Amino acid sequence: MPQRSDEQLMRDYARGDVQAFEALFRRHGQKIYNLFLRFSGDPQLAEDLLQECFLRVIEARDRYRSENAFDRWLITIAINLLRDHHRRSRRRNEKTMSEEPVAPDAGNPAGTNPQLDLERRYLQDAVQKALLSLPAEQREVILLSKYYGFSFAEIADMLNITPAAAKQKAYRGMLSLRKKLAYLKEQDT
Amino acid sequence: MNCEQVQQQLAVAVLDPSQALPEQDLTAHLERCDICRSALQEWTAVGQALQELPERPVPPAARRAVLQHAHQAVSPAANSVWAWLREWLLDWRNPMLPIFMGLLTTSVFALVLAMHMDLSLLPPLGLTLAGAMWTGLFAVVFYLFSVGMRQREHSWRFLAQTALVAIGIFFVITVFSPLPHAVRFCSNFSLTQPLMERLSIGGAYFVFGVLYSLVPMAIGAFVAAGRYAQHPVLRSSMAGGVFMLLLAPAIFLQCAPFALGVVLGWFGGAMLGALVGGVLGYWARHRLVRQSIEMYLFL
Ligand SMILES: [Zn+2]
Repeated sequence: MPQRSDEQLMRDYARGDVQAFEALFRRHGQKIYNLFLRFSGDPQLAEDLLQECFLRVIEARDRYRSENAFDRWLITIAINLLRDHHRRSRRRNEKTMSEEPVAPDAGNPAGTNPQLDLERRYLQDAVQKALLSLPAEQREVILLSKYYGFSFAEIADMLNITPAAAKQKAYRGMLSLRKKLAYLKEQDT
Repeated sequence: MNCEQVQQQLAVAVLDPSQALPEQDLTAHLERCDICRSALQEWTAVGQALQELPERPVPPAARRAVLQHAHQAVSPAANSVWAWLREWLLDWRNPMLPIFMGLLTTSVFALVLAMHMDLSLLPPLGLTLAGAMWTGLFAVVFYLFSVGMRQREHSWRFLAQTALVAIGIFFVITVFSPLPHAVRFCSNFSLTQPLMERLSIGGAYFVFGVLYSLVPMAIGAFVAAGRYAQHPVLRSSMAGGVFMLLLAPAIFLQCAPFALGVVLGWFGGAMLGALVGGVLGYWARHRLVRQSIEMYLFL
């Protein structure tokens, strides 16, 4: 049987096919979770937002129009959730983002060389911290293009800005990252 | 093409390869420009560093919760009355839920009080007013809790959850041994009798008032402090204040037949117990958590 498209799966779920939803979650759940995780550096928050995001998908199943690409629609929901959260935590003037971002530990498949593992974790930690230090709108653009492979045109569409503005935000963000991660290059050589 | 443009292009091409400059333009520029050549190296390093962030799998609990919700939303049973009721009761966004919960808790607590005393001795108007006020207070605290849950306002959730857990425990204790009974029992018990005689009746109510709110508040703050870690003394005291608001009607109802000294003694004791208990529970939770983390790290 040919694989159903995301849009088809969403339509099938709206008609009561729960397995269609499970397939959608398998395809997109992890990506969205990691978007939240990289954006916030806070696993607990990422988990909450992931649930909230898919609850919105479930609630909107009858309103979803398949002319809209599912993955972009999903990302738009996720971005809105992140912005809501960001706005609220700023209003409360609280530091809700983890002070110590958790170095993600799922990605060292070999794990044979402890020294290498330690260096990698250190690097991951540095990258996560550098990302967290960016303004939210730069972080959004960088995460969406680097990890989700969206073009600037697509990102601009999702974020309701012009492609030039998206590019500009990406460039600004990359400049700060370069400054913050400059020492990594010196260590390499 | 100037350096500024080249560097901008190099940076965005790290993210979106479709933005890369035509090969020959770039090579031509890089051959004669040291600055852009070293910039290229740096951008490549940033790109590689970003590549290092690994993917984490979705935590199983979150996956279960989402899939379960997806299931419930489309299952045929979703249309039954029972499912509707369950949905209604479990939805934090439901504005009627706090009012319903306020009514429910007030009724249950009134029943608990009625187990031990004859509420009909009180004037009906006063009783009705007390009931209405209590329902309102509970509704407000449940509303605070629902907003805290749904908007991740952890400080609100902490205030409301601490007070609700504490008042629940207070009433569980009251089912088995209401405070006036405990005072009376100790006054007649041979071991405690001399001590109780030295305390006046007001003093006895004060001491028991402390105990009867310190223990519930300590447990309440311990339970609620999990995800909350700011301003321990201030927030625990505020939670104690919320608890006192919920407790006050219970004190006045149970004290109605007694003198003013009893009311003041109990009230003052409860206040002190609530403050100390809240801070204690909060401290215990964070202290324990920190210690267990340290154990994990060093063992
Ligand atoms: Zn140049």
